[in-house]
Amino acid sequence: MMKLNPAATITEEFAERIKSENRSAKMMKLAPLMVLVGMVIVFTIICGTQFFSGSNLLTILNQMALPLVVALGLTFVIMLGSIDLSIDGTVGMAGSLFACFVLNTEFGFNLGFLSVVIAVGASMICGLLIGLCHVYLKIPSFMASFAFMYICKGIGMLSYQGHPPTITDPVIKALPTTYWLGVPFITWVSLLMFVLCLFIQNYTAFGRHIYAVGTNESIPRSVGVSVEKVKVGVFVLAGFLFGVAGVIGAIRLGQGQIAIGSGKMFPAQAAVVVGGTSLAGGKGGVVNTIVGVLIMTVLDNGLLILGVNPNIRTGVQGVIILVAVILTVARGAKVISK
Amino acid sequence: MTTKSPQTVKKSAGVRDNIMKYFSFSAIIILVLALSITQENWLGTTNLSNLLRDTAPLMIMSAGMTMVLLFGSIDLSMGAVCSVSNVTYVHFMLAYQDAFISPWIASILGMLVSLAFGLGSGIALGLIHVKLKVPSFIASLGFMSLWQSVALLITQNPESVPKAMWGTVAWYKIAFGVLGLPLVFALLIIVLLHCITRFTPSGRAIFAIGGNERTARVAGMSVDRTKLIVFAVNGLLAALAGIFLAANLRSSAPTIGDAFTLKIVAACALGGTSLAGGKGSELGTILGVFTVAIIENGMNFIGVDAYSQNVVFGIFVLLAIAITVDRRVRGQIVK
Repeated sequence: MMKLNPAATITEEFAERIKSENRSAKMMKLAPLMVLVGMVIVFTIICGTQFFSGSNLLTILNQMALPLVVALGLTFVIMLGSIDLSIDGTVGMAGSLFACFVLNTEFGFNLGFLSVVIAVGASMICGLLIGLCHVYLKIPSFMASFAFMYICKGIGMLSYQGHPPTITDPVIKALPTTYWLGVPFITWVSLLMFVLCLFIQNYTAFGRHIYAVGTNESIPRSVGVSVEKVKVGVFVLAGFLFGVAGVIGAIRLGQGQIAIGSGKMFPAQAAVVVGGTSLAGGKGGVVNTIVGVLIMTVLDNGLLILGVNPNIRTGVQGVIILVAVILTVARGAKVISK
Repeated sequence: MTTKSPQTVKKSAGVRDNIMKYFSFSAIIILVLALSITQENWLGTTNLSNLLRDTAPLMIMSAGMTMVLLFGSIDLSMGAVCSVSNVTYVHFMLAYQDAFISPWIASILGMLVSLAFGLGSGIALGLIHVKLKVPSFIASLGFMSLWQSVALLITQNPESVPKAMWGTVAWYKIAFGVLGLPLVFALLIIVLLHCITRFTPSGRAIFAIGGNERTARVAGMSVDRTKLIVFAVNGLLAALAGIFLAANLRSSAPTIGDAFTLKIVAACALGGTSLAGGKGSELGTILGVFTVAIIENGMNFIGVDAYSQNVVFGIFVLLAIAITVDRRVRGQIVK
């Protein structure tokens, strides 16, 4: 608590408090960026040109594509104050379905672009169902989405009956190595998604409603916003982005497997929280998330160059989530955490 | 116009609160009847004793999770704690198999190390949740990720219990007819926990916290200590389940616990324990555990693959929670 001048009037005291709050809020906003810069400097000093080089920068851009799209979807859900744990399942399911419906080694379909629609549509339906379960059946979002993780994993596995289809479509096979202006095509897709999300967040009523619902649900309700529709909409939007991430994963792997999704949740969760989007909802946004994703990707990349055991990386993500939440969570005698 | 007398209101509330128990109980009877009629050897001694033996780890973990759910929190890290304890126990036995005069010493020391780990993990989770006010699901999610990675660091591949030590895990296969010793242990644990939560003041405090934490605090209950102890016991039970799994299979696997998390929640929800806290019982969880176990065993028996089983369990969890969720409070905010 800051020291207050005893002679100050209530107005001055209030203004002072607001100012100090703004100052700390500004610090919190800049903290993720400083962490990112610090990490880049540290890794450059330790690894030298192996880390700070054009080719490694391309690797980082390539690596961040999928986590970015996943984390964007999760950002909106977390901004509501809810959470989506279904990522591992939905991403894997979308990837599997996509590979099943393009030209592949296992099935006779050759639907081309329509398979993207099928895969993304399926994961949007899952998002819709999670949203409906959460909003109308009043199941806590983490539980509804946790159950859907298993359901989607099952559907994804069943879609290819144990024989993962390898993509043979020449256009899609060439995509991972396609570059445009020196940046991989897949990264362009993820950046396009970022711009789309930024637009939705800042320039649509829906985006502003997400903040309002996340801050205090009863206020938008009292001014006539359909809170239910906003919430379901956010879960559908998240489903859309997870579906796109699944398709990206399948394109990169060249194969449809449920494993595309496994281990995608923790990095996304960590990226969103590290970026400064609060789990309580109403704060943060997609700009925070892109910084968070960069932090996680650079950390992952740096640890890989240092030769750290890959199994440690999931553990590190867990610790990062814990630390970031501990640092940002609201405390006080009256707060009840469940 | 008729008005409901208080008595009928109470009665209908009773039915509402117990609906999952009735559901699970009838589900068990229907499933047993259906499976024994359609599947020829399902009711045979072999399958029945297998079913009852394999239920023990799930029951132990569900017993712990029920207490956590009763005060409105959740622990998603149980499966991962179980994995770490499982690999630690077997790894310890492998490493020290010749270090002591009797294989029993190495085995019991291994058990103690595993249990100590579980206790430590539970206490750490409890402290982070209670003292630092991190929501339990996100704290346990972080721990889940951490312990999954630790389990894989201890061993990447399944390890077998050395042959010299087989005697020390043979207790798991002792059976009285179809009723195995492990299930007897598990039932003893769950009944003990039931008595504690039902009949002791500190156990009743769990229900009070789940019902309304602020009131419990105002009434002078040591909310923080109760939660901490429950999380510690929960970690201990998850570690015990890991040891049971190692003794059952005579080998370890670093991902063995992952599949359990959903089944535990399914068992608790089917047993009528509400996710919001304050409602449910350990005895209901016994019903839930058997429902899950019979569904799983039945699907295995018919030949349904593990992935379709996931779909079934996911839907079951959603249904059970949707039924137990209390929607009577208007304007309630669910996050």
